[in-house]
Amino acid sequence: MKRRALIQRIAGLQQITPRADWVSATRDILMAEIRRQGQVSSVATPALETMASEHRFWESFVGVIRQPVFSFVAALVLALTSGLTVNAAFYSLPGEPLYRLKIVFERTQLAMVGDSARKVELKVEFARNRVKELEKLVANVTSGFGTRTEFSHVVSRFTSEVASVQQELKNLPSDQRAVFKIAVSVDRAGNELAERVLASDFSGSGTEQPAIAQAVRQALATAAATSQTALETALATPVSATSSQPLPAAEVGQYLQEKIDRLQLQGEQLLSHMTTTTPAALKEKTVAIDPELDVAKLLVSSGDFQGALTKITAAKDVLEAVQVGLDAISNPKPDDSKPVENSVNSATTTPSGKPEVQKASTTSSMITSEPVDNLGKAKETPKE
Amino acid sequence: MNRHNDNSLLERVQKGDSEAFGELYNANIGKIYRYVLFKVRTREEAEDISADVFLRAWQYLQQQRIVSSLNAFLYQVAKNLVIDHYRQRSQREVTMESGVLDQVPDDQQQQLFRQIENSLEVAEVELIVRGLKDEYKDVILLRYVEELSTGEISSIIGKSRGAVRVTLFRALNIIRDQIAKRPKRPSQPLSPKS
Repeated sequence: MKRRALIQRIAGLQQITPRADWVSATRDILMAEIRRQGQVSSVATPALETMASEHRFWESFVGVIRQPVFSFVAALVLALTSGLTVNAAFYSLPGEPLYRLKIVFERTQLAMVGDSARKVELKVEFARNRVKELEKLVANVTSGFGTRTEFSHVVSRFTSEVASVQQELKNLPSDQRAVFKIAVSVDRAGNELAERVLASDFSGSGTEQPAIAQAVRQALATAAATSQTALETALATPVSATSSQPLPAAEVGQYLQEKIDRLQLQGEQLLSHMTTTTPAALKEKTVAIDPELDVAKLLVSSGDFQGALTKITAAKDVLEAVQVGLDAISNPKPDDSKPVENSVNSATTTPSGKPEVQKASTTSSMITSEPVDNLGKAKETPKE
Repeated sequence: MNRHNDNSLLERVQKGDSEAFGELYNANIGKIYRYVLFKVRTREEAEDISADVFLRAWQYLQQQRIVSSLNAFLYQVAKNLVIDHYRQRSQREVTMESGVLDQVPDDQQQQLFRQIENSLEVAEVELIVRGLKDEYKDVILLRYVEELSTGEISSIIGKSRGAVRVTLFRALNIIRDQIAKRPKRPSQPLSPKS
């Protein structure tokens, strides 16, 4: 083939173009954000002279920009775009044409926020948006392949957003209250995700199933690790005059108390699943947790939150190991595609080989959402 | 858009003129999207990254930094974001996508491809270009699809003009060989869907 003819054929690739609706909508959203930022900045510039006014500026700016509904309405006004389109994008689900706009808009919001703490809050908020989307997807489930795909997409995005929260933690100022709130929010997001997974109909067999299970397991593990890191960071930061927002002791105490209660409940549930054939070592380990958690309660009462957290973490590790041991007994065959149910609750196997979900322990995902490797050992979660 | 217009547009954008940024977006979104699309696996990824390119471009230009070539600047931003995209994905180790999403027929992607199936030649070339090493893919797309000069390409990929010409020569030879090796077949849609 002659060079000219070859080049002409390559030039034919110019026929590939983006969707016109995406081009137009992305432009509108980018322009709206840019214009709005310009307006806010021009008003706010003189106020940046003092720290106090700077704080007010960020409070108002970030407060406004963090509200998706407001932002979408702003986009409506400033970009003169269709209000129906904008609102539809806000409520859209993965797989729907306008969902991409929603994601673009979230990214735009993030990019326009400079403050690290606010950025992290936004990321947590977006992760929780993914959980809400899962809820809607589950409600609309028709067990079609497409729905499974969207389910995977959302879980993947959740993992990405929570993982980026963990990366961002080290950039946060010594604001104990903010970091503690992040720990709680991520913990709750993980729990909500576990609940949505349990409520879903994605436990059937199929070539795509192990991949979905792995994605969910990773999402839960990432949420647990991120929450733990944030909690450790919040509790380790010394209370000092430089801490802009000290730790809310009452809330921390209550939160740790809830974690202890959940662990005790999980221990009881594990014991109830044990039979006469269960190895004595597993029973002993599980029984021994209770007094340790009682000590943790005392430490919480005395205000030694770090000491309590150490006890809680140790108890959680033991329960995970026990859970892994029980899983190995009930499912001795090496299985590379360990079903997700093993990670979020107790699962048994039906004669058909399809995992049967037992929804008794939906609140214990913090305990059992840690990753489990193929050798049946508790895998260490990344901690920074 | 010629260099004079580019410079004028750049100046206006750097002064915070949002209308100018809109013009910049309109003039460049198609080629940036196309460039990114050939480097990622799905249309969704290409859309995400392409939108990011313009957001980053705006932020960068507001810092009054010097940009000698608008084209080169946008492609460099796109290139860096694609690299970041793959870096972040490997850090997350979300292996789910390789297992699941590769099997998923992307209806809209298929629709896009069906649009170009009218010319089987284009579809064949597209497949071949997709399969090229990044080094070759870059120069082929930038030179013959986006019609940039070797000077602009050299500033985007960070090689000398001579090296760009040599890479182009090699890439063309590879494409020519690949086309020659492909069996002749009657025109038919790439996708089983009609």
